[in-house]
Amino acid sequence: MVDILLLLAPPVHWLFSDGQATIWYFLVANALVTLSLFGLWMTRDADEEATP
Amino acid sequence: MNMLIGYGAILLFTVLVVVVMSRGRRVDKSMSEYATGGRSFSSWYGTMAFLNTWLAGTMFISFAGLTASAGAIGFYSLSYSLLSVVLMFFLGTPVNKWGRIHDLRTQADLLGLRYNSRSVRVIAALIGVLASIPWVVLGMQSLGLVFSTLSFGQVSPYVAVVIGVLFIAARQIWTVKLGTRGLIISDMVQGIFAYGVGFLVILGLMVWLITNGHGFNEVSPSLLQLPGPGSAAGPFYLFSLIFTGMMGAWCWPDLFVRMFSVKTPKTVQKSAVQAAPIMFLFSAALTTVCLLATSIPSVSDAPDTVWFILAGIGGVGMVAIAGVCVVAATMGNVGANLQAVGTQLANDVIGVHKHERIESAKGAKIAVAAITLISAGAALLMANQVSGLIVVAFVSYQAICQLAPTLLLGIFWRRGTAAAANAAMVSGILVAAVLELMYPSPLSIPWLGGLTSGVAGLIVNLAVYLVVSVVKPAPAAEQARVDALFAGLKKKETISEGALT
Repeated sequence: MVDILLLLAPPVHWLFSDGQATIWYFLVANALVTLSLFGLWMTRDADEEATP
Repeated sequence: MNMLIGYGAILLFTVLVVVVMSRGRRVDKSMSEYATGGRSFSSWYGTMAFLNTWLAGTMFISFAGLTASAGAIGFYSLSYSLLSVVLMFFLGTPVNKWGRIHDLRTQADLLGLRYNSRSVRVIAALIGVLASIPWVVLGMQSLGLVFSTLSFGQVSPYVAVVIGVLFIAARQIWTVKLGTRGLIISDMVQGIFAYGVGFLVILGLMVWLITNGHGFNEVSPSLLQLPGPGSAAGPFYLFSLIFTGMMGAWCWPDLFVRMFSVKTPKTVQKSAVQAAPIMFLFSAALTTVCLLATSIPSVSDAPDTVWFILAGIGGVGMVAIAGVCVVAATMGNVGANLQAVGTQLANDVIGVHKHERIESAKGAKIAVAAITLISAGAALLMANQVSGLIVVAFVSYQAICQLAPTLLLGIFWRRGTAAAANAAMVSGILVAAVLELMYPSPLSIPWLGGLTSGVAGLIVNLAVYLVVSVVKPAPAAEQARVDALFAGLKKKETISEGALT
């Protein structure tokens, strides 16, 4: 949900819509989403499947 | 001599790919093995297959050109790509598990199972096939710029497109023969070159640009603006671009089947986690370097050639490497598309029409070969009309994303019905098509605040899906079947060894 808000919410786009802030917005927001995947991986349900 | 170096580099790379593919060859006699590569691949193969399917050669051309001409908005492709990876993480368990338990081969196969409906399966398959073919043709034609540039003025742009189409069509001989297994093995080689070597080239170019007076301060302020309230495109335009990209991603049949090809749901998730940083570093670096390059005068004259203009800084060798990067990325995307479209046509259209489950790989091989020939023929016939085809490709994206509610809600929500899916897909496509005809260019619709036709279609699509599912729920027996399907996801399964490492 946080990932979607960061990258999709129009007010966030409008907040960083001018100047070099646009570049840093995209870089930082996408870096955070990348890191969130590692968080998801660490907290996934370990019992989801049997070990091959 | 320069042309020899350029064309020689492509030939050498192609020979390398074919040798690696052939060494990993196993005969896939059954349709399932041909379509899924035996569901045997490890997470790194899954990662590279995803990247090589998703990040097509046009990243270096059209997407790079968009940044070079329109500025920071070009980063939108990075945003929707990473959101797609997040979706991949959540789709991994149901898609891979249902695929293995029910021997699913294609996206339409999964929808047929979920909705217990031939019409849902056929409509989804036809949308996937019809939306994919323009991208295959465009992918084939995009190599024209590579062969034109690497000829260093010896070959006209038209002849270069013809060479590019014939080259990529010939490459598909191995796609037809080796199926998904061959594709995924070749994705590893192609991906390492396109995004590994490509990333190193980008880093070198970035350092050169920053140290030679082309830093962030030299980028024109007009290129550092995003559409917001009061802008011509509309306040929701950027949202629409990212949302359409994210929703459309897993609707592409070629990308979706990658989740069937790896060993377990955990492997899909691990592939996603590994793909994210590669995707972030590569796409962010490529977009940034194209933005920095906007202060080079020749870039604004021909933004689509920014990748080759920049590579020219390093001389002939660097231009040749840049060309191979584009070829490597294109090979993966075109091959995956052709294989998925051909298989889907055989499995979900011809098979359903004949009322039989196709078990032999022969039908799929014939379908892949036929689609290759048709696409190559279309690419050659329209070699002079690339711009017109780009419009068709954009429209096809608005169409393919109309599969999203049926696909995603079908996977995550038990109450969606076949009637809802059919009504939603058809109404979404009709709304998107009518709005697309009314507002062909630019893509945004002014009275909807800049929403694109695809997003407007999706809103109607989603509403129809929810209303029909709630107003006319599935009969008790069908609901029990769907409940059992979801309950199967909770059960533990043991997966046999013998996988490719």
